Amino acid sequence: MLYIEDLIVIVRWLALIVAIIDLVLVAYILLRRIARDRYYARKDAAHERFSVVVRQFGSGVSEMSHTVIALSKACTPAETAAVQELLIGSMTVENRERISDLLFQLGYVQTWAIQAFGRSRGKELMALITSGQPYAPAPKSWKQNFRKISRLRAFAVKRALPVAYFGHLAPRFAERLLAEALQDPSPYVTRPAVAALGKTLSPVAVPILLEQLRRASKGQSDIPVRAAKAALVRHSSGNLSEFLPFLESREERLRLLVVDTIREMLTSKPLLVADVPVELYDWFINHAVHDTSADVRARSAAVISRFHDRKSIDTLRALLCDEDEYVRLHSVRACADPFYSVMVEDLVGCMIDRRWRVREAAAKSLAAVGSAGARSLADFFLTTNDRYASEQIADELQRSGLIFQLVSMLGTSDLEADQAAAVCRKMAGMGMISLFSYLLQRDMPTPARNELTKILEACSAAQPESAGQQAPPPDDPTKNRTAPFLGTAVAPATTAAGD
Amino acid sequence: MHDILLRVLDYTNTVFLFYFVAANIVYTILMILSLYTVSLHAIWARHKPYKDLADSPVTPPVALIVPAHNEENAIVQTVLSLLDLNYPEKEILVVDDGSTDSTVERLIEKFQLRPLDLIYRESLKTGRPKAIYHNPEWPQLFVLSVKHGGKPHALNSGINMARSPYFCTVDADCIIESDALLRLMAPVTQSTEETVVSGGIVRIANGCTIKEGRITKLDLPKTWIELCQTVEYIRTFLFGRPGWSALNATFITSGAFCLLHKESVIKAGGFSRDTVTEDIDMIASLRHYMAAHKRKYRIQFTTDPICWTEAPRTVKMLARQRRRWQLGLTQTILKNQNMMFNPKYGLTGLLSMPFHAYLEALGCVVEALGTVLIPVSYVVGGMPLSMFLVFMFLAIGYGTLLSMGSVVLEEITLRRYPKLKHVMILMAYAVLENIGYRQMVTIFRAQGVLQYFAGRKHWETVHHKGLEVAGAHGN
Amino acid sequence: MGISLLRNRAILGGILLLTLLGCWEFWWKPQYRPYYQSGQAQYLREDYAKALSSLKTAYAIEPNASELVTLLGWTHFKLRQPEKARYYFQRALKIEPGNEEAYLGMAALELNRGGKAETAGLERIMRKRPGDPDVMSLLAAAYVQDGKNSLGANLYRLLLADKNYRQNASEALEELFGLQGFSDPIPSSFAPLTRAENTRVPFRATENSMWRQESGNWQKYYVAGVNFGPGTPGFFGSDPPVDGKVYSTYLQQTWQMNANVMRVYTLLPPSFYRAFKDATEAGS
Repeated sequence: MLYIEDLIVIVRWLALIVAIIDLVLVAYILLRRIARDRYYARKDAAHERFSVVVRQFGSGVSEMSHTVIALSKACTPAETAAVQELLIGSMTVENRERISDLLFQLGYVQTWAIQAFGRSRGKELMALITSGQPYAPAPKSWKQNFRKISRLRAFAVKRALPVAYFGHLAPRFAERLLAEALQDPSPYVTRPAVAALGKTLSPVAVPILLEQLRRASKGQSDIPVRAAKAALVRHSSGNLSEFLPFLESREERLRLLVVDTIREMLTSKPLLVADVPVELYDWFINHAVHDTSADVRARSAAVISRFHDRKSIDTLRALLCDEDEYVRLHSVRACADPFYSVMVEDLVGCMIDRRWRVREAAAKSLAAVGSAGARSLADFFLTTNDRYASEQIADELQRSGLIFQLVSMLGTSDLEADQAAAVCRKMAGMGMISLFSYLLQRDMPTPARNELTKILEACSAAQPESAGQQAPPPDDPTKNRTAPFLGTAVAPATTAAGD
Repeated sequence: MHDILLRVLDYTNTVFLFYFVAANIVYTILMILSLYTVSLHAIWARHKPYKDLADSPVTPPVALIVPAHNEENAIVQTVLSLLDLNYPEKEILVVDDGSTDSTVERLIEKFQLRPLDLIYRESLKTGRPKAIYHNPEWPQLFVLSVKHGGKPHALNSGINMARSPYFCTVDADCIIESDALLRLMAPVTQSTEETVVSGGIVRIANGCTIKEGRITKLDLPKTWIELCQTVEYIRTFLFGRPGWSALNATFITSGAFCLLHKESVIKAGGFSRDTVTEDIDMIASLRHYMAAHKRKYRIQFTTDPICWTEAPRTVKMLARQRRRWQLGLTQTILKNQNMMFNPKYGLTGLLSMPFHAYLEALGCVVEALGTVLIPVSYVVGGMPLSMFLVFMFLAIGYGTLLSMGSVVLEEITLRRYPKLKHVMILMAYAVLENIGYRQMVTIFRAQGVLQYFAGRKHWETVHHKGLEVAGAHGN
Repeated sequence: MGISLLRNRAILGGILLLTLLGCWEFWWKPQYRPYYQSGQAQYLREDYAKALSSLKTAYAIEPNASELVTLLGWTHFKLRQPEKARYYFQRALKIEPGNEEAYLGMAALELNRGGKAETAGLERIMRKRPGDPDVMSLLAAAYVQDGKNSLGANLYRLLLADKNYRQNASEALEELFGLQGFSDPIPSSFAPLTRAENTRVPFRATENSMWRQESGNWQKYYVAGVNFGPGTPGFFGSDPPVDGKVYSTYLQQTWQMNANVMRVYTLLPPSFYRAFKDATEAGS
């Protein structure tokens, strides 16, 4: 029984409450702005004050005790934040240990540890660090029951913030702290912990990370595989020998991920064969080819191609003839390196592969291998009757810009002018004349122009113009295209012209 | 006679009351969810996790597809800003959808493009493009010229041409921040579940200074209509979307800047021409496909990636835009009607879709009628004064709370307007927006819904003035 | 397109929703109107006890319908329960400030109590509803209460034509003109009031005696007087009898007493003056 006059009163109260909340929000914004401005002003002031001290310490000029006294003067949150930023910003590989020690002495490491792990555990870890004892996980306590709750984002985010700092610290400090962080139930903490492990460059980190990788590969972890891989890749390559036991694991996925990680490491940092431990080298050269998993074989190709020696050539040759298309694809891609110009014939052999992806990759690799490759590519182009291979090569010639070199050679007295002309003729015959028509409308040296005009006239007599190419139909395993002369005559007149 | 009128008004008043109360309850719940997610995310993102992504080599390549129709003013700036994006491996595909102006010519001139005959794989049926332009010196950039077929057709053509596992739809008049693509990709790489869609925020660039495709000075627009839109966008993107995303029930992402997984999109059939808002339809199609094949997936929305766009400046253009959006929403809902109340589609089918169907699409018609009928009912005597006040409160008063809360959220998250004066203006408009602007937009939206039943299927043209360009093009 | 739309789940859902709301509004929600209507019929039949019970049932369902509340007030008024009637009328006015019936009810309550009712509001309603006898009678009573007798008399004269209020009106008019107990017809208007140019007082008090002037000569006059006030056995002092016969009798008895002066220290009902006129005219 809601009397309507009460309703008016209720509405009035509601409107009042809404108005009050609005005003509270306005006040909140104002106060927040003011507080932030003040915070940043203080922080900047602190930056100014302490930057000289930090620089001197970083470059080794001043002493530890002196600096500790100077920097302890920073007490407000803004000042301590500024000091922390300055110290971390001035870290280099050489002074990392000193600065980490300074951070420890100033008590910042303890603050971070308490923030991340709670008061008692944080202090325990500090004690472990000072005494030098190895890391031991906390004994099971009644607190374990609250794991589900601590997982909640609301609580986890606060714990996660200091974890990023741990990555900057020297291994002596970072190992124990990060190992503890990895035990945290929330992914918000474990993910940055893994990333931080990648930054520490500590030898202890590698097996931990590999273990994380294993767990991620099985789907047992909150950490995505990519994150674990990224952390490993970032890590120094000097600890590659730790990878061996994982390479020999029985789990395919784990092997694949480890191989992929090694591949990434070799790609991102220039690595010499000398840096790769012997056992690893042996494994790749001898065992990778026979691995049961196609994925592993495929990714190994990229690793092997880095070795740049006689044995790698042989291995790659073997991989190029692998029965799995994926392996062939990656092996072909791995050969896109000028060192492997000796493998041009093998690459040409891949041009008539059943799968279009392999053909495409072969064309790209040939284009990238150098002038020998480009020539073989052009030769193959001229001799093949396989329509799809021709299209693939024509595509690659245009994408890589080789076509412009060829056109510039037209009509000259170069050795390769004839070949260039033949290539252009064939392309025009396939209907790919857009570029040529376009070039003719621009400035061209006269001999090239004449040559090109001749080619176009010859072709336009044969068929109408068209632009664009039709895609090859999806790969049909029943049709055997490995034999190039099985009568799949190129008939561009009827196929390319239709819209 | 008077009696029958009163009875009818009684019924309509009940409908309006139900609508307002239900809508406000849902908005409140969304607001709480969003506050939780967004503020925590803001704290989390403070220590800049995106640097790692930029350096990491395992970040997958992305194809940026830009469908363009008569965008000669903006297209070069857009392409320049895309080329400058901070991202390891990307390719940029501009698809010219049968433009009648000099869109393609300007691009050719700027980047020295040449027509090539490249392979075009028709994974989605589009027909072959008229021409493909490329210059090996800009290896990332490709321009396709296709026959006019609308935005979905252009996007499908771009998908066919793309060689990356992910692609990102970009509107031609949008400005993307340099980190935005990284931030858009972050949820994909950081999640353990397969993420097929990742969406970001769209903000209004009217009033900001733009040089060479970058925002140099952040400022508020001057006219009331643009300011109201600014507050409205903040409210939608900081309240509505994160709330639904937290429930994993996203129904709408903005097609202006949205990352999608190419294979999934192709398998789901690509962008369809059935609706005028193909971005909403895409989400629905993906959900269909994933549910049909029982694959676990996530559609994610984060508040970090930011895309700046131009809002309509005149009432007429605003009306067209809003009509189109509602028409598209109605089309999508009616087309995907078997998702409604279907537990197979999780919370989307049970919560998100009924909400958008009845409290947004049908709701705007109800609200538009209410704007007219409630005062009539009060005047005729079918409603006592107190009820009228209740309606006023629900319609106007409560809305100020939501808008104000969204301005606060905006203040908390990473992007904020630097001057305090701006925030004050925004807060003032958070209140003013509810009086007049909201009702006007509701009427436009109602027109859009009704247009569907009147048989309209296609776009009304919206003209862009082009964002302020400091620095001549063609430099 | 039409048929396929009807098979569309979204549309069906929408139609279902609107239908449910309609069902709620018109069926499932307890309806107060039938009770109200039966109560209204009973009220018009003057069956107030039954009307009260019907209306109370309706009120339990919907306490916020202003017409219902007003009718409840009137029913209580008719049942002579002024406190309850006042409560309902006040509520009705709060719900709907422009409610005329409730306003009339409040005015009626006031007048019944003997208090004053605001004539301005009643005039306003009168203007909106010219010729409505209920309003007229209330307004007339309000005028009379307020002292505006001539306005009230005009209205009462008009009310003589109405069959419901004829009795009331004639009684009121008789009271105003002081006709009760006399067989005079009701005059059509008050006689115009004229005042003499100069006020002549034919009495004076000097030399220890009262003097009376008769045709120019002052004669001693012996006052044998009676003090006459409104207090009458059987009547409240503020509520003197209105029947002229009472006063005629008193005057007769005063005359028989050989009193020659009557002192009246306050205004008496008009019928007294009417009786006085008769008496002085009859036996001077």
